[in-house]
Amino acid sequence: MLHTISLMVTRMPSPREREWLWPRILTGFLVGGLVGGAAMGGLIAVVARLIFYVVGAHPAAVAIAAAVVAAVYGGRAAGFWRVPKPQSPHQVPPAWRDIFSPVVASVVYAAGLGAIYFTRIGSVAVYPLAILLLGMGRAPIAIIEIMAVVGLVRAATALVGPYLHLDLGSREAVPAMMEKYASALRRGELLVLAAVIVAPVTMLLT
Amino acid sequence: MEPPVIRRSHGSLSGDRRLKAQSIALAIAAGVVGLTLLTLSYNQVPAYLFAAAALSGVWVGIASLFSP
Repeated sequence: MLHTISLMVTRMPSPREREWLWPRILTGFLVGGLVGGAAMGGLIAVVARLIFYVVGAHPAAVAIAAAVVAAVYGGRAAGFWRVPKPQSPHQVPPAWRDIFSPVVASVVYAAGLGAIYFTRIGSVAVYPLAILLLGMGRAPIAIIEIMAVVGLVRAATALVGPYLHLDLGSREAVPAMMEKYASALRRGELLVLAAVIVAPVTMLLT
Repeated sequence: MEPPVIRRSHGSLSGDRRLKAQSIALAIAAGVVGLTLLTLSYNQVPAYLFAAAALSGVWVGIASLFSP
């Protein structure tokens, strides 16, 4: 993703044009992420609503199911066992940035990223998240709102671009940064999955 | 002898500062929108489901920064 946003900026020949373009691209990213996430939330809400009509609302069972999935993928993240990680093998098609203008391409590209489940995803927390959302069929608007936030946050990570100056670095700059923070990412992942596992316990206490 | 002038290859230093300020402003705007949406959804579902979904969802978004 950071490659893409950097490439869109660096295609502009002059520094002045780049300075003009950066904020517009970033705004486009935020709008696209929000819309894409909300659209994906709408899709999940339809399925969740159908599940709700068929089996009713069982929030406790949903929390336990999500906790089990979180435990399974937590073990995977910790290196205890191997579990399939079904996901799209590709990110949003990069050709889009060549078809549209940089600002329009930003909106379209981020909308694709915001759709989350149709793209390649870094975190295994998406699997318990899917269970949780599918179990919220009683409140479809909440599903849309939560997914809109997920899309927005995903797109908002592009805001670090101007700070990291990734548009000025080599193509190896992004993989190097990812490697540098790999262990912190793993710890964060385990922490979030542990929180999902603990959720049913708090339910029993309240 | 004059000291060497350091120039940034991508633009002026003031432009760089302006861009960083714009990024912060956009981050604040995104934060306000995100928190508003989460607040709206908070009362619609049980708190433990909301907390687990919001936390894992926000993490999925943040972790994207480190994905290829």
